[in-house]
Amino acid sequence: MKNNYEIIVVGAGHAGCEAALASARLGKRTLLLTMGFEQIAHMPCNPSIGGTGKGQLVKEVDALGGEMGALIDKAFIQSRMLNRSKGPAVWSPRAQADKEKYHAEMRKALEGQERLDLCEGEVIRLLYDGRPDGRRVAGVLLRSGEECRAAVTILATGTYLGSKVFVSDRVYESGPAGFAASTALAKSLKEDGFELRRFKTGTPARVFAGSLDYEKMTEQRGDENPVPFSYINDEVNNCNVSCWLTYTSPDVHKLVFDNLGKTAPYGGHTTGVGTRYCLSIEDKVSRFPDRERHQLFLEPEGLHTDEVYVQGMSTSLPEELQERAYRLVPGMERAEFSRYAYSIEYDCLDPLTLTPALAYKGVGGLFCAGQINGTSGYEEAAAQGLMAGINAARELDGLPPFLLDRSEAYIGVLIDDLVTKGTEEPYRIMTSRAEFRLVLRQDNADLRLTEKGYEIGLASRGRYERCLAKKQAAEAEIARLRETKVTAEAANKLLLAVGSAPVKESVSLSYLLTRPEIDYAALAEIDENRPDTGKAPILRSAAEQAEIEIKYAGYIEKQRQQIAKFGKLEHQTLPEDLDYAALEGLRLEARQKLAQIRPVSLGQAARISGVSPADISVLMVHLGRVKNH
Amino acid sequence: MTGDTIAAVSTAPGEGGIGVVRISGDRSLEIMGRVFVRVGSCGTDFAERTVYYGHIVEPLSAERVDEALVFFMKGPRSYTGEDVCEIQCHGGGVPLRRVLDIVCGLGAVPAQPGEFTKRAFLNGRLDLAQAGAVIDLIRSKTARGYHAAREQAEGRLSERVRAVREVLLGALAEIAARIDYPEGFEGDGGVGIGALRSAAEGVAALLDGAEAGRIVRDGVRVVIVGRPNVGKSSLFNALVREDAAIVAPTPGTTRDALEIWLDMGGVPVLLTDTAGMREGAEEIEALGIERAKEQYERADLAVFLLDGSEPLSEADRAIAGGLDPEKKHVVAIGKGDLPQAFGAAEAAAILPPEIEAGEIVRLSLIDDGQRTDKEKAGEIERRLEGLVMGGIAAGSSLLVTKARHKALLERAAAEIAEGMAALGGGGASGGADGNFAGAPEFAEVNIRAAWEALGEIIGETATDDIIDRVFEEFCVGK
Repeated sequence: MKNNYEIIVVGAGHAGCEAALASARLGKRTLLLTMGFEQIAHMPCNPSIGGTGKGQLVKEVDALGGEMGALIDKAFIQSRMLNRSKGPAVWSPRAQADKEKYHAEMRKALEGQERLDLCEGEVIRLLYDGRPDGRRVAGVLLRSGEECRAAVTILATGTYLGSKVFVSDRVYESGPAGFAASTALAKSLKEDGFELRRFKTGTPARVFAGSLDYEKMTEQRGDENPVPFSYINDEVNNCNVSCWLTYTSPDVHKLVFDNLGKTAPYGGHTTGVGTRYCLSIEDKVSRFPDRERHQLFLEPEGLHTDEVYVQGMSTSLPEELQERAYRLVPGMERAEFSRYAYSIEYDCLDPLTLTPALAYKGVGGLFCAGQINGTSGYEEAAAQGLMAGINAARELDGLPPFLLDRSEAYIGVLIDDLVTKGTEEPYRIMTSRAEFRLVLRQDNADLRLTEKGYEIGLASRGRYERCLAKKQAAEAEIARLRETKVTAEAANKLLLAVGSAPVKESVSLSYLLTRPEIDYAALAEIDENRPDTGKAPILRSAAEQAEIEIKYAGYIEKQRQQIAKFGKLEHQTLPEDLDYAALEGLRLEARQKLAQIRPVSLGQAARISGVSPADISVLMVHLGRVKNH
Repeated sequence: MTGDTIAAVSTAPGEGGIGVVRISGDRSLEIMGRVFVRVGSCGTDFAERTVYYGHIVEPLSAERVDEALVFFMKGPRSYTGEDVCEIQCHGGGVPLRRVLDIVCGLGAVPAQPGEFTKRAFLNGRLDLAQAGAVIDLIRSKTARGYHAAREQAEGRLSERVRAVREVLLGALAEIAARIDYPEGFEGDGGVGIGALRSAAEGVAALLDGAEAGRIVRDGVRVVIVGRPNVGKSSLFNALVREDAAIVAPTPGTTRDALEIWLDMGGVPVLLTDTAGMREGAEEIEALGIERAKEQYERADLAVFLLDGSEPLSEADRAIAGGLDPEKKHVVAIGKGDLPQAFGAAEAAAILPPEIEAGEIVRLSLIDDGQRTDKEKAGEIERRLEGLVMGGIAAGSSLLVTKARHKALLERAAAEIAEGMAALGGGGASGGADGNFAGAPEFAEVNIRAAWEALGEIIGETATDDIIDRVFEEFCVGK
């Protein structure tokens, strides 16, 4: 009965949901399996989506036709553009989510999706189809004994695979937030020859808002007019629930420091590799002993719950010491706990075993997405889920994989980092990882990606048309600003008022816009013929594009030149069946790494650690030889 | 397919009659057109496979660097299959190095080892049988280059480059942390400006060393100048201990400049004897005088020789007045064996005040039966040697000897200056557009470029360093 599928997705977290939606939207009969409906698109850690780098990922997922952006637009309770004091290249949207609403909205989206079946069931084993050219995954076996068959399976097991929870010296099999672990699958994957590694993460306690004294904390408001995550939305609700900022104190640090031995890692109970990107309080006090205080953000978990997430205080201290430590924090003296902090270890793969399409290299018919690939974060998971879903569908259609490179999207940076460099700790996206971040902005993900999303059949016609309209309007506005001249007199009135050097002759509006003191809004008084952005919201985003493209033209142009140079190596593909062992001139280390990773392009090869520029020259000569032959 | 236009000295290092600078790539013709001025024609078109005679000229100062023969081969009918220009100039380190520096200053990239051959292969100019040889070439040259790089890595150059990179890395990490963790910091002020200032100083010091490195590698030019018949050729002979110059008591005997390489404290010195300078000389002698002036202009150091047996003349004063304050000079009064017509104070008085010549040397080369000529000229030799070595020491004790390294240091310096402007700390005229004060994400582009350029010198390019540094130094994240 569960055999009439083309694609099976294992796990309905942020990766699995996007994968299943993309697959079904690309016409594939898809089965999404979850161990429990309550776990669908659950947020076991922060109740928030977006942030630096992550916000860009969400907007890219949306631009391609994914779901996360549209859902957070419905489910946010506060939204802020981070880095507004810096330039637009690093602006990053972040929203506080109503966890329950986000989960419910995703469930609605999945249930309403044609060709997608959502089913509860625990996968305990992969099924294989022995072929002459090697093994192929043919489906999954459920705990119930039922076999589900499909041509492609996508693993999105998150932090559930073989997971164990640690609180002090107590260890027990458990998934996050008290949900069950997927233990049998972890065991059978190992039996099948998959090499799994152990990563670790942690989450702080939740406390009841009513037990907190916000008088002693600093209020953190969201933006008054939030920018939507989804490009299909012109505006969103202006829900603005505050978060609260407080700090740890030397007393807290002393208590934690004196009891380091009672935490799981310092007591020697965990072996998994943790991430530097979210340190537990025990790590903070031992690694930064000179810091007198650390920030703590109190984030409400939703509109219909009193639970508050204590960002910055993750720990594996025993519960009694957690209570004592938290209650030393100003404003938390009488904190009542709803859930205690814990750290969690889980099994994952070395992402070097994956292709850039997120297919597993050793076995056919298998794709992987999300934390199983060594990442952390909902947004990183969603981005991979979307790409794995797209590429699984394309493989079935016999189409070449849909890949984004490092100059096109944060998604490209994320996946290229994973499959080319690998990771030794749970990987988090950062804008600093994107060498071309001046062009990979949150304001232009649609201009970068929607056409591609439309071409592969994922982004809707309506979305594509909106994108085209924005693009045309932006181009028209750039041309208008360049062509419109104002007299020196008019320009100087504006320039002198903001303390900018006067001009001698008439100048274009675009010239004035390059002055740091002048922005698009400030030009309004001498720009009589500007389009009325009040009438058509698309004109607002077009004007924003025009402003950025003109104001930062020098640096953007520089980056485009770097991208052109980057593209030259990136677009030289390496044959899939290249026999590196037989290639003369390569050094041994390069030979081994190239054979293991099997890069798709010269550019990817050049980024592999242990492959030198001389090795790349050897590959170029080889490619030339093949071509000349 | 490879993009950049590349250039290199294609003839073997060392002294040769001629040397060749080869340029390959889309921009090669344009670059040659900007450095080459044809003699007898103001044309700027170059027919394919036609030899042109003229001068290589430094485009900014319009200074003539050397005579040259040039020709152009249009791709694909060239060695590399791309547009190729060849500049034949005088052999020897100095002219070739200058020509290459100028060509690279106009945007050519110093070629990697084996790169011309690699391009030839990639563009289908070499056949299949030769492909193996190309790989061997890339490998062996790289191995040698690697060896050289390692030698330098053990030296102080890489230590200093690494120190500057470390400073830049600190600035990059701070910017990265502030951008990726905006909530972890209170206030935006003054990111990395101090670090950039110190990095700029570090790079400037290394670039000073590049000039000294050029001296060690390419040598120092020393000329002897003075009016006719003051004894320049005798001094020249005394310094070289050979009768290389014709010495005769007739004024104007040396009609052309004579040159010879000497070793002074391990530094190659090109000593040039010149024709005496005076007004109203007849045609052939005038040509020699013209050449002497050019030789003086190209020199790093000069010996200005006066004749102590005759009163100071208009010709002496004219030469003294034309001395270049940018150069270092040794002033000597010769013919000390004859009755002296003036003293050191009077000689010093004809020098323009901005010329620093130190104490005036008295010189007598007459045969006294005791000292050799070399010993008699010993004081002048010591003074020259002091100036040569002093020039190196003043530059830096760190010698940047490779054009490629110098180009990378210059790129780093320019990027740092731009980055400082972007952070609002002064420096260059401003970011790419002149006005990004306080924008760390733009400064980051410049700082990273500077950091990468310096990394190329020592062969380190890993980018994960920055993120490692962020989490070592800053307690950020949730």
